[in-house]
Amino acid sequence: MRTLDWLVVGGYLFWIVYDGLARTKRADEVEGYFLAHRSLPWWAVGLSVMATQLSAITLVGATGQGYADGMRFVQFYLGLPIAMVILSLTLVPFFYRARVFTAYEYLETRFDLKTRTLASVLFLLSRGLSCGVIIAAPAVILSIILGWNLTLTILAIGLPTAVYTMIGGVQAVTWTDVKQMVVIVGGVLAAVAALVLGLPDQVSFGDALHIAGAAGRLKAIDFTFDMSQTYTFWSGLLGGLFLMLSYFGCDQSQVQRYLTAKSVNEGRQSLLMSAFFKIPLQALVLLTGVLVFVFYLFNQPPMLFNRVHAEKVANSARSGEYQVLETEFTRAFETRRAATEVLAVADDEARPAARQGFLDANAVVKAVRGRAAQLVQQVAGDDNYKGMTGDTPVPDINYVFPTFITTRLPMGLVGLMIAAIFAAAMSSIAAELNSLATSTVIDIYRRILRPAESDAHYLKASKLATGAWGVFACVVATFAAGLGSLIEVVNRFGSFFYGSLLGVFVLALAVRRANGTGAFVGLLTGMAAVAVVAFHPSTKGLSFLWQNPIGVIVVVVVGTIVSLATAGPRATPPPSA
Amino acid sequence: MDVAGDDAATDARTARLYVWVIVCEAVTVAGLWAFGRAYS
Repeated sequence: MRTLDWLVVGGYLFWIVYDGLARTKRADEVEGYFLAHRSLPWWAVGLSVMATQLSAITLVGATGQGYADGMRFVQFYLGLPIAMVILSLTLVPFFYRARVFTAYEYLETRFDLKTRTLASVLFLLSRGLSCGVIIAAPAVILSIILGWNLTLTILAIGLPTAVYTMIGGVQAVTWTDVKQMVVIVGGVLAAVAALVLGLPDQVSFGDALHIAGAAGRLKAIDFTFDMSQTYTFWSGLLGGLFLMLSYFGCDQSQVQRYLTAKSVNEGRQSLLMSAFFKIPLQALVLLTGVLVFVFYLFNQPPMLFNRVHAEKVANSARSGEYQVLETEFTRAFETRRAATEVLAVADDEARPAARQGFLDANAVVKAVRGRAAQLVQQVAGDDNYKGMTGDTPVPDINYVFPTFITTRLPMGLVGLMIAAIFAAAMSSIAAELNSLATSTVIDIYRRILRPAESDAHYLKASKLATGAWGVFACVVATFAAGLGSLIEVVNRFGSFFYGSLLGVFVLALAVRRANGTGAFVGLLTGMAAVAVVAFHPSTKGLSFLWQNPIGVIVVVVVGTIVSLATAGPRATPPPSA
Repeated sequence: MDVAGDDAATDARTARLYVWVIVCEAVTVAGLWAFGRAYS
């Protein structure tokens, strides 16, 4: 990073914190602090919904996925538009008209306090830990790529976010999200422009697409029905539908976004914005990764993108083997570059042979990388290096785009892209902190611990809760950064929780005779069932997207049976939409 | 309970948006599939 890049990143941080504080109005009451007095326009809420979902690891990981595996990952989002329509017709009007602060508040109205508290505590546990992971993941990558101190990087991301979220509440979160989306999309478009302009003179954009297509990077839609595959049309459309219903309908970090809208229709329209733009945006991010792949066909990439592991092996007793691999990799790259140039200029008649030559050369590069990954696994003991996605070791995927940014982009643009990664992280963290504080204060503190205090008291408690969650997230991030397995545990816990929580809301809306005991037992059984499916040898190969429908079905079936068996007083029917 | 801005016209506009969401998704999926085929 050079001076101009530092100025861009510093300017971005100053602008976001200043704007977050300046745009806050009437946040001196709890409803203003958490719900902006339900006054925000649909387009701002819609951008905030998108910014919350797009975390730094999504931006960096998806470009890496595009590089290593192509556009297939876009199928993960195919259930999103349908989920948005279903939510707009069902939960959005329920939540909005019930005048609730949190999604879990509705569960007490429909069932009882214990179901509400269980859902809220599960959310706090899951999101509190994942907030730390959201900070840790980009901080680890940036500290390795740029040589920054890890703790300072965590603080640079976490602290400014905690400050403006704590002082400004949901309005600061929403209005900074709007700017952060502009920075993210602007950064991605600038990277695409730089990649297209950086193609060799004899290679047009169309040629680049033909080369990427030959390498299988542009096959976005796969209609194969295979439940062990995460990225197919059916997994994305059906499994992804349940995941998106859970995330946007039951996760407070998203529910709180649309509860701030001016009216129920503006809340709906804010969700429909994602329905229209999420898939094209994700396709653009993946295409950026594909273009990075094409770029590295003409310019030599590192054999391993995670330079910490590369250095560890290079300095070990097996450095000789590593040097031999480096030489082989350079030779394999040169052969592939020559084959790529032949493919780029080949006419229709010569293309099949040129394509085969390119694929053969690409396979050699992949084989050398595979051997390098094996060496890392043996020397560094990192078992994640056993797996390869395309021609790239799995743990290296998140390092591809930051490596490209910092080593290949011009001055100024490096700063803009680092700012975009910061923006993606901060927009997600801010929404998480805001929703964690809301659930802590509304579902636990005000409902159970101190039910009869003044609004000013709860406002103060809300600000303290936001700050405390910010500190907690930074502490978790510091530990999570050194424990790759913890990140996986946190993500797994979230996936157990999502489908089951959606099941409770389905039970609430669809099963008139369901009661609190049924919902409570159903939620616990649903989570246990998903855990069994995830870990049992006969089912653990199932893609995690299918865990969500399983969770929903178990909760609804068990919840209904327990409700009928306990035969308590008839439950209050849900309010009409 | 009625909420500000929820009149029949806005409800109808939102309903039209639902249809457009499904149409756009179908077109996007078809476009991505055709794009992959064209450059495979």
